[in-house]
Amino acid sequence: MKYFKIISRLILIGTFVCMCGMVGCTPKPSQEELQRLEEARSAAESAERKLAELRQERMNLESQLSQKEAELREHEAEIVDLKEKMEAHNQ
Amino acid sequence: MKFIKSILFCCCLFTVSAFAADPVWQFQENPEEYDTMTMESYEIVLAAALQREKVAKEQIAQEQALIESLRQQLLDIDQRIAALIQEKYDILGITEQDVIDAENEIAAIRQELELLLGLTPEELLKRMSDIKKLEARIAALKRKPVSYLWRIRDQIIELEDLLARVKANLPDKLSQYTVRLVPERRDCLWRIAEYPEIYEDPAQWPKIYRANKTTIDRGYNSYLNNVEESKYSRSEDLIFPGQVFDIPR
Repeated sequence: MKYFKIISRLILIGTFVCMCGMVGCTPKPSQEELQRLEEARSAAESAERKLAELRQERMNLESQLSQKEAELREHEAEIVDLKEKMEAHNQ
Repeated sequence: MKFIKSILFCCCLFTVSAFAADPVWQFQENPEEYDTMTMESYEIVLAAALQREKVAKEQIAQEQALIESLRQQLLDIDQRIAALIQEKYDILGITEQDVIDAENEIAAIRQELELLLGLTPEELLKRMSDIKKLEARIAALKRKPVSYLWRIRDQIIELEDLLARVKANLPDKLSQYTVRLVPERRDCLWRIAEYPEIYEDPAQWPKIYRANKTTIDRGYNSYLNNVEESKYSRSEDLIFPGQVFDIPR
């Protein structure tokens, strides 16, 4: 029991020391590696911005296409109307 | 029991220290704190950035393909619309220039009508001949084949509405008329009755004469006294500028 207490206290102290050590001795990336990370982050953001622009452009084109299709249907209806009027006029 | 509590306490310390010393999510949100990151965090954040870029580029390629397809569809539909427009012109026997001329004429008439809308009723009355001319121009437009086109027809309807608003601003018919001195078209009872603001019907001139016989006869008698030989055999044939006639309604 006495040894048990000694061991548990040692474990506690050891944990405390390791905790402090972890912060101070953990390996960190070099400046070149940090630079590479910054470039990768910028490239990702740039790609995402471009993607957002392309999505907006696609939505605009889809809207234009929808309007053009409506215009096309109107022209077709007008041609039917004109043909009927011309026939009535010629009669 | 105390030993177990100690072990549990140590585990809590490990967890808290690991989280406090190296929060990966913190570096993704705040790049300015890269200097404090560990190698492990660095590798995670780098992999995440590269993956984001890869996914974004794949989606960019998809969007570009979609955009290209949409542009082609728009080109095709523009060609079809142009063909339909030409078919309409062929049905009516008109050209694109006829349509342009009609639209120019409509714009000119609209401009004049909008000017007239801004006039007072009295000013409008003096512009009756202009109103009549605009009415005739609209009627001429309606007789042309180009007026069958829907967009021309709709514009002509707008013109007719404008014209109706102009005419609605005209005052009520005059109750009195002052004979004017108009060298190129001398006032006489026939012409006065023809004016739109009077009767719009020259055959109704006797009404004006009967209502103003005293004034007209007085003027005629005065003329007879001052000439040796009269060119006018009847008093109703001679009126003078400045005479004010009642217009019976």
